[in-house]
Amino acid sequence: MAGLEILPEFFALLSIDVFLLLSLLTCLLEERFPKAVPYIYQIAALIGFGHLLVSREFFALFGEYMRFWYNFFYLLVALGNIIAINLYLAVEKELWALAKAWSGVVTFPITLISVFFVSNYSYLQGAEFPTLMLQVGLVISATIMGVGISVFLSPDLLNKFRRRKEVNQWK
Amino acid sequence: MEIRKVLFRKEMKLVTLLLTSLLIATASATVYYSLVMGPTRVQTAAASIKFVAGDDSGSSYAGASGYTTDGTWVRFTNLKAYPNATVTYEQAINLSNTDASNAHSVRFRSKSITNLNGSATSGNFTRIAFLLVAPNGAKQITSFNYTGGVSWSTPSTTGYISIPANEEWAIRVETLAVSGATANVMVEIEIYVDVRE
Repeated sequence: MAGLEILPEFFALLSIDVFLLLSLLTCLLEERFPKAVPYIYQIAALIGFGHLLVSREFFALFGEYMRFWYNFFYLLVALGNIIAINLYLAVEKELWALAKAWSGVVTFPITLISVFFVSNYSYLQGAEFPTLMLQVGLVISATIMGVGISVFLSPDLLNKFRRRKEVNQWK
Repeated sequence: MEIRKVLFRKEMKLVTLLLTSLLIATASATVYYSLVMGPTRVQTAAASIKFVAGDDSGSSYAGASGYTTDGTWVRFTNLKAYPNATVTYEQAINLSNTDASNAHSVRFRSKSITNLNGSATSGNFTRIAFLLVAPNGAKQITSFNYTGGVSWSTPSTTGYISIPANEEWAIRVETLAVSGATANVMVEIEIYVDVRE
């Protein structure tokens, strides 16, 4: 039954892609971040690659339980970085619009994708997972992502929305 | 324009990061793919369901042999069929579930039947039946019958029957030859006992 099952190393692969995405995004927004940040994320992704190589060499020695936990920890680190950037933009830089767009386009979808794969993995390992939660989560994710993308592509939308609210208040 | 300025331009940085990102992502995906499609390891292990001696396995009765080493195959060399009288080997061989905690299912599947004395052989037999009997005497497989006549009628594969952990079930063989059957006519039957792990 091992054909389509995901291995614990999939979480490391997912984390590597997250770090690479962070590297490119922080490079695009380089005025708002310290110059070294994109390169640090590249190094983090490289560490993940080394992590995968070690996992392959000691595949038989490390049990599935241990492999899951160290890969899952690496995924948590990657997700932690996404949230940290979100907080950095919102709190440190006070770039609210960008922080909102980031949470809609990056933080929320990636967190949900991670939850999806972790729950899928645990389901295949025999642990129960309510499918309704997944469906509701996907709908929420799609909505927030849609709003996030709209705001990201045309920041004027937010201003228009705010202005309309103010006009309604004065009426 | 100075080379230094060109190197530190945002586009250059982005292109460099994009290329290294592609490289890392591809290499990581390749390593993961090699893990998924890695070499299959096969480990030897004792069979869960084994053939073990029954009360009628001895050389004077069914003449079962070949099962003592691994318990994975058995040959009967002394089964007899009498004319107009059913011979029953209650425990021609037994099936033992050696797994201490899990039940395993078995079924009977016909492989071949060969007339060793030409085409007339089948006409000397009425039937040869293989049954699976639980320790309480309940017959769990009863339909696995080879019926003689002009030609042999072979049984279809049975359904799976679960043998609980640590139990020993009997394979019962019943034979019957036609009235006035020629002596020393032989037929060779090969059957599989499929085990669902």
